[in-house]
Amino acid sequence: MTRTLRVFRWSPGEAERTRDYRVEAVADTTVLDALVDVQRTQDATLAFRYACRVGMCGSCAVVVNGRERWACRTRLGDLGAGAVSVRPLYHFPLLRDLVVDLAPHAERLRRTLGAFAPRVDAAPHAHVGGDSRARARIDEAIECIGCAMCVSACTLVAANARFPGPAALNRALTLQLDSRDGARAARWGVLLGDDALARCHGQGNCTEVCPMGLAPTASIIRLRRLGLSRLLGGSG
Amino acid sequence: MIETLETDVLVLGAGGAGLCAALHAADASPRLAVTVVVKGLLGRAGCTRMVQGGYNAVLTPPDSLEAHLGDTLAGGGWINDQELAWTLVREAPGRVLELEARYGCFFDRRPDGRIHQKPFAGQTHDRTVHKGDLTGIEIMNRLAEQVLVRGNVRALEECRAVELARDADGRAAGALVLDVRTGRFLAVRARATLLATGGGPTMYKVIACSADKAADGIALAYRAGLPLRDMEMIQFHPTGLVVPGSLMTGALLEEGLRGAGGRLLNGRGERFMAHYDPARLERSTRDLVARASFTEITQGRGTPNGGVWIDVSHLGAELVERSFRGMVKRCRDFGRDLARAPVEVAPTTHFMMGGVVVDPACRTALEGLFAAGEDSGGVHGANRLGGNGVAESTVFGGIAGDVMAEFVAGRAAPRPEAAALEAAAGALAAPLGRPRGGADLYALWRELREVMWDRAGLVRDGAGLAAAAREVERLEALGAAVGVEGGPAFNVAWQDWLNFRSQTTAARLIITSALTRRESRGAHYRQDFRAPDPGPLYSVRVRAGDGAPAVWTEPVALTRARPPATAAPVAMETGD
Repeated sequence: MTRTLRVFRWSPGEAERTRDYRVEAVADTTVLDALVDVQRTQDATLAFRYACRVGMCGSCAVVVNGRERWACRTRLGDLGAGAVSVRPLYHFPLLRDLVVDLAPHAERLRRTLGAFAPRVDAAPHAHVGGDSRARARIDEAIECIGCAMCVSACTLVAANARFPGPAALNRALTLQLDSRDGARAARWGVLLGDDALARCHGQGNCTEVCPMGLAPTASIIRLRRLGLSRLLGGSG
Repeated sequence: MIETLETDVLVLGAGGAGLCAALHAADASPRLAVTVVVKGLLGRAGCTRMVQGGYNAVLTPPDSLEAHLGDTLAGGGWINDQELAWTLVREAPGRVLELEARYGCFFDRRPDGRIHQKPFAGQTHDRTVHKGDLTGIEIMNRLAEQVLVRGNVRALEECRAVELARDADGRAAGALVLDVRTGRFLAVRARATLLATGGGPTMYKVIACSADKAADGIALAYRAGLPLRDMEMIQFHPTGLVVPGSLMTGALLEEGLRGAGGRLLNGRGERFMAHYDPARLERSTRDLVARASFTEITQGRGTPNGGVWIDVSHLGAELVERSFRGMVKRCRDFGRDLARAPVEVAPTTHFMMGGVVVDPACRTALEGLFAAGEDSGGVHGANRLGGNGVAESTVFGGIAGDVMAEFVAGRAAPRPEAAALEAAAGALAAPLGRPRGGADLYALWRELREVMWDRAGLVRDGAGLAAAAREVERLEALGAAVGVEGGPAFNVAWQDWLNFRSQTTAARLIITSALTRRESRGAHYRQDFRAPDPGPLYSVRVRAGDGAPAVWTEPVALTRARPPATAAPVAMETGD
């Protein structure tokens, strides 16, 4: 079956435009397969990004028909009839065609102290209990592939440059629940500041587009609860 | 004039090996400047990311280091470098704990709090540490976060090494690096350089590994004149998804499915492993299971799309969905229900056991150059056990980081030979100026992948390998003359041209080595030499010679263990 792929094109010094390509699709042809096919057989200069091509690295995240998706795991056949539009993620600087600069993504993670920091007083083999509630909660939120689709879908990151965005806040939850981590107090300082947890409107766009089925919205709500009980003198 | 960057430690590659090396070197002294060259995005390039099942480490009795060593050597057809294998098993437990305690990895735990370890094929104990069935994502996310917050580590994202640099005395002096985004070359001058680009047998038709790999490190080492070993040993994983018409083809369904009791059925519904390894059935080693599947398929007992079935539905849908969430979703996105029905799978090219010759301190034959992970050879011998791959990359990456930090202390920065780098950059950029026309890069690439799959794949013979050698030489020559459209910045075709160059170089080494090993052992199966050679064990070595690879063999030093006299031949095969 022949499908039309409507692809966003831009390179420095040029105006943004879209270009249509006709691609032959079978039942399992994905958006990534179609992009690769276009680049190899029709337009060698099309720039797009992918690495693992099986849904582990998140590098191929794009906006397909208005919604963030991983190109490698999205079948054209599951997108309904009509042309399939492909454009780069929102809220990131464009580099070329479908490729964006994800440096702000890393910067947000850094600002929210998104790296584990071992406790200085940690006992050897310290761990989060095997059947503990904290472990169950962390498990629900930890399988983030860093694709930044949630950030693209978030309406707040564009409005407030200091807002960490869903991915960084989701990671923060897994760290605030982790008794092995030594930076939790400092991290609360960031999370409970003016431009973090308090800013989320709870629209849930992030949760809707997460390809791993994570729920950053729920993580943010959990963090707020934990933060509140901390402010009220709990152990948080 | 090529821009120059100076660093103390240069790490080429950013998977488990590269990032562990960077962190270890950076933490050895805050004064050391560490630069990591990442082919893609930090934490998201390469194959450590793709590890599903997990990480082999001996943590509690009755398992023992000796048992892990024995399994690794038996699985490896006894041609492993035993000192490397021993280093792996000895250091793996400490590295697992380091990944947890220092970098924050969140491995699954049992209700009693102990680290959960699951059974994996070819192993005598439940040894495989994991995070669900997406262990690599957990490890890479945590390592990448640590790199992000280290002030003395700089990650050059979407950059790739295209040539190793040497000084006037021939010592390693860093590398010529290409920035994919800008298309500009960068000379990185370094006091110690690590090759950790992760091998990657992407010159085969069906692949499991990350598609960004191209055996770059193997090609760099070969061009630098380094000896490589056991390049004929390419691992084919038995359970790659069959997804007609999609790049998803070859994507792994993890080994834990077989470990948990998954069954393999041929197109007639027969549990065919009973004919090939009646004792271990589906829990036999990867090489045997992959070849058995391949045999079923090529002999006409396959499924409609040329695979076999993996069936885990008898384990109960609820258990499968809970224990193998990532696998279930991977299948579901393509309309297959792993928890409730058989799914079509076929052998897929997974891993290069061979690579650069190293010692247990990751030193290579070139002073100042180190290698770790899939770019190096010898740890796994003729076949790698599931769960030993990420163990290797993190164990040896960490060692390399420690060793390099010590190596650079007090050592003057070498001066790369600028003229050589300028010349290399000129040659590598040549296709950009050329008119397109003549051969099509992607047609050549397709041919390469077909040839390697058909003639240097799961079942090989002398005539086929000789034909493959001629074919690859022809494709290499045609590829060298290809022209690429567009400018240098983020030019996918140009990057693929560079990939093709590395892939053909590595393909020649695979073929030459496979011709030299006139026996069947581990992953290497020769139809014209179906049994293992009863003579002394040897390793096949190859390095750049006069215009063609020079190849020789070296005896295996049995420094830690000897194969049992009655050992079942590793390449045991019943069907044809």
